[in-house]
Amino acid sequence: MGFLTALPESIFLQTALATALLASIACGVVGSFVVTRRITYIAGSVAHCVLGGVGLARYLQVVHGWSFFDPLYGALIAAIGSALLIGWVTLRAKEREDTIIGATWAIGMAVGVLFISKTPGYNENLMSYLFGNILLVSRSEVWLVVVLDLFVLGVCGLFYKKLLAICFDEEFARLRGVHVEFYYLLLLCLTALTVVLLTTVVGIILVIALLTLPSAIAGLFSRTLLQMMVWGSLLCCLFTLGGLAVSYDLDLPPGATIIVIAGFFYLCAVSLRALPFMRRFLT
Amino acid sequence: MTAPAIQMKGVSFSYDRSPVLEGVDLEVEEREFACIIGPNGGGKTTLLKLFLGLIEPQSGSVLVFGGEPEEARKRIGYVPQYARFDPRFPIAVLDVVLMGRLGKSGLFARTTSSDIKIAKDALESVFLNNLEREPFANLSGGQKQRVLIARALASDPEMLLLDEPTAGLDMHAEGHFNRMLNDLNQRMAIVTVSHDLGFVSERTQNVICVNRTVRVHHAKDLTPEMLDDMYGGHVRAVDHDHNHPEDCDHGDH
Repeated sequence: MGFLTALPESIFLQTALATALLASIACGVVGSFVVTRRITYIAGSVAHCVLGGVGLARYLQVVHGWSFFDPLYGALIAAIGSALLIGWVTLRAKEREDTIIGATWAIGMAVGVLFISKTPGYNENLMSYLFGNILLVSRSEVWLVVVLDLFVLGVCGLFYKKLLAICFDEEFARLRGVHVEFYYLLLLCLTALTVVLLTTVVGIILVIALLTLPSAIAGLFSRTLLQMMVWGSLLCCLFTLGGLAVSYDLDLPPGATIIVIAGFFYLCAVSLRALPFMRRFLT
Repeated sequence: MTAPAIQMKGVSFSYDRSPVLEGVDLEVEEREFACIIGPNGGGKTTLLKLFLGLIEPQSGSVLVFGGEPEEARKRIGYVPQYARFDPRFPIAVLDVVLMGRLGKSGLFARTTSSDIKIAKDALESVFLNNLEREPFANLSGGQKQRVLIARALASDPEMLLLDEPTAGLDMHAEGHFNRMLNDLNQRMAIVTVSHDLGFVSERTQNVICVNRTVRVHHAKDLTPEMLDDMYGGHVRAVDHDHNHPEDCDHGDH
């Protein structure tokens, strides 16, 4: 049975599709900020720290009976916490940024592995957190995804001008009285929330590709950041939808399929840009 | 009488222990056209950051329009070097200029129709009103420079502060640019910072020479020969003689 014929009957597929499309919108918007502000590796580091949060949440659920503590809450705490930590250190401590990013990246993951090793009967689900399994998203989690999505989009909409200003020219924004450090930390928090949204789709390891590739492709032909966001969101919807369909039909892991499709289109777009006659269409 | 645009008294600044500026006294009057020159590493950028209140001197005082630089910097239209920008950032020219209005609008920085009018007027005064929808990335270096000036003008400044304004401009563009600044100088003080003497306008009153210490020359006292001489002197200072700040001030030799 093909993806499209199965869709009307399968509540799993509908939930998966809803989650993917919702996450895609935030992905295009925040991904454009991430690409232009060049904080992809901060996003990567935050994503890997999510494993620490998820591990902790599962440990508390299973070993200590905190059944209300959904892994998604753990993921949110870890993502926001690590984003603020990296942001604070790079703004204040004058430490080398890449050292902090790399260290946080690995430490977050190590913490996750330790908690998971101490959680009985849990190892089989580790793979689904690392590489995503969108078919495992529950109905209650979809609501959390909706709330997160609306929150991220709302904040981006309200503070669009200020976020654009700090991405384009931080120094000038500071001279015009914009609280640059606050908005930088806000941007990192929005990135963290989007990373959590996207980990439900493609998992921790693959998330930076989905966060950046659609916006990077959109950036090749967009004239404004807003255009880049709209096209980034559309492309992300297309990749997740295509990936879900292909993975369902060919019985492949959905997260990896989505990333391979996004990567393929990115390589095609970049190669096309190198052709002389394409220069007219791409900025 | 109103306060001078910039007033520095006995200013010293050092990063860690190596002094960058020592005992600097200088004054820029309102409506003055001043050029700051000096070799790379001579302290020009530090001077600029002190004007803008981005750093504080270890000793001495900096006053901008008679007040603290951090308070007064909104009245300065700062024009950075265009080469510093991400050449592929997707943004339209008008949106760049509208950033000049940031400090004037509220928390959510909503753009009003008067903001747009001010931005368009600013573009017109740098002769780029036909390019407002164009992506910033597609412009030439000289055009980008003028957009950044328009952005500074949109904030309704009382002084323009330009960092290396003619870097990357050819002779023709430079002459055009020079006339434009002369016109703007009717309305506001203009301070340019440059590593060479290639850029000194006929309206320039003072040439401020920075190489750890500061000497101010009246431009009218400078003959073309002296300018050539000083330019040669400062090149020599860059090549060989970092320890003799006097080399910048060739008039003493």
